[in-house]
Amino acid sequence: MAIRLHELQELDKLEERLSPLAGKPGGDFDARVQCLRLLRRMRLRRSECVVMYGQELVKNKAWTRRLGTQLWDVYEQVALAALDTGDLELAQECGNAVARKFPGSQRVAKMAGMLLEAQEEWEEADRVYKETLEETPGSHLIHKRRVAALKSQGNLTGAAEALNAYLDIFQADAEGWRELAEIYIKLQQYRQAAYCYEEVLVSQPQNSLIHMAYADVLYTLGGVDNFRLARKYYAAAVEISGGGNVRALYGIVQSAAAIAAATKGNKRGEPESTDLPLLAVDVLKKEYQQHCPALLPIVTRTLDGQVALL
Amino acid sequence: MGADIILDTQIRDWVLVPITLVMFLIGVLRHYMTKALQSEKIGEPKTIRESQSIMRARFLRANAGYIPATSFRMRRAYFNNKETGLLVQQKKDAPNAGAQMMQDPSFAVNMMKNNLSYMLPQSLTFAWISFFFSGFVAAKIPFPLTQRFRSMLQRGIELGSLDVTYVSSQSWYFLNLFGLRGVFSLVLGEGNAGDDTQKMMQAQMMGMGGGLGPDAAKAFQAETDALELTQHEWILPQIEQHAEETLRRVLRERS
Repeated sequence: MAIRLHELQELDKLEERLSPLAGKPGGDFDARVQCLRLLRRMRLRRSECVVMYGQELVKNKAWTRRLGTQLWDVYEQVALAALDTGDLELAQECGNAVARKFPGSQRVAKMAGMLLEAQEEWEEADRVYKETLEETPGSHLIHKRRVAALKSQGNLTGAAEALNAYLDIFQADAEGWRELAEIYIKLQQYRQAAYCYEEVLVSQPQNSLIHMAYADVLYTLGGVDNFRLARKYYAAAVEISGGGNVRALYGIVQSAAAIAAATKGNKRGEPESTDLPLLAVDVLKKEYQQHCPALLPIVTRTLDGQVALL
Repeated sequence: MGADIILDTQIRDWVLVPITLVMFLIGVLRHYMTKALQSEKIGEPKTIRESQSIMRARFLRANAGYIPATSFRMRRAYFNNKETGLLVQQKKDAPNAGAQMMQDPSFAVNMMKNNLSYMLPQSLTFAWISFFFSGFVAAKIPFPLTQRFRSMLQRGIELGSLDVTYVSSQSWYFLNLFGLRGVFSLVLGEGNAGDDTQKMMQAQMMGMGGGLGPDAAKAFQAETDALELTQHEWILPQIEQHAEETLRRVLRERS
């Protein structure tokens, strides 16, 4: 799972060694196997590479015997990679081999569904997923795949529903909540998105990107209270990232300006301190000066416009 | 202590080494047996939901300060409402341990499988050791030890005058039982680490294995109480000052 440097280096060496063999039969069984094994282990998605060096492995009868129990993992890996490269025939072949060996397995059902997806048989694929879910409602693999399938059809409402069904069971899955938040943003249902981001915040409070995304949603919702909240969460993102999150810096300036514009002439409540937005402006200008001087005049003009509102 | 006891080399060849060897082989056998008996483990949605909701409530309790007060109160109500709260509901539904086993035969079967592969070999080897080798002094530790170690190293030998550095065969068994764990992870862990990632992921997803076990009702009650007692202290009011300091520091470093 974790990517280790020495494994990456080994992989690069193997790929170099294998590159003259691409698409040709025969040669260097061990290197091929090791290459695929490393890719599996690190969960890297180099599908072209897998298909190039893997398809000979599964087609060569003598080699499939030599692979032993690893064979089934290789079949699955090559099948999924072949879906990426559009080689549906190869995918079907490998998928069938695994399906014969492990009927009723979750991973096989997932692969069958993905094959149908690749042929744009959306309804068939969804039927496969639904049937599997009826049999084993606790299968997170199939739940997630179903959401992904609905999403890739552009059916965001359906994806949100499916993801809600998943999260009803797997409530503590922060990545799931994050995905749902992003779907709700696309659907412009910002209140729901905010709820989801809160859920991610409590499980990953040290991730500055979550604070920022939550602030974005609050800012989008609008209203003085939400602007104030947004400013606080942008500040949190800045604090956690040590001032390195440019979007959060902009966010502070923007939300401060929005608060000022909304409370103009209305002296209710204490006035907000202007130290933070002004500091943010200074840091932003410094950043642009250092990394992108060409844009500095435009940035300065925009920021000064915002500062004038404060 | 008068003269040292000389241990026959045959004891080494026929007691010390065989015990270690047998225990190692049994460990390997057990590993493959569990693998063979293991069924593709997919939890019941109900049990997953239970353990995951506890986990979610725990997250909420630990990091309540990171979300606004209204959001926190809303969630607490969702978990703890006296009639409709999720934890309260699940506590009501949680069956006691006996009923659960009666209802779900696979529960019992799984437990049997675990017991078979763990308890059986262990009790068999222990019986074997204590039948054949009880009372043996099997080894000598090359450094002196205090009297405290007597119960650990000389199990099965009731001799007050024997030097503590001598190890009895039964104690050797126990030392092996715990000491071989590292060897197993070296020998068996490396070889199949590649294909276990999927399973590890799944185990992580499942939270605390397959559900809360027999004490589910208690766990729900404890979580409800803890959540009820949680004070919401919003962390963010001070965050702006902290952020200001951070930005000032950034400016200082840059200039």
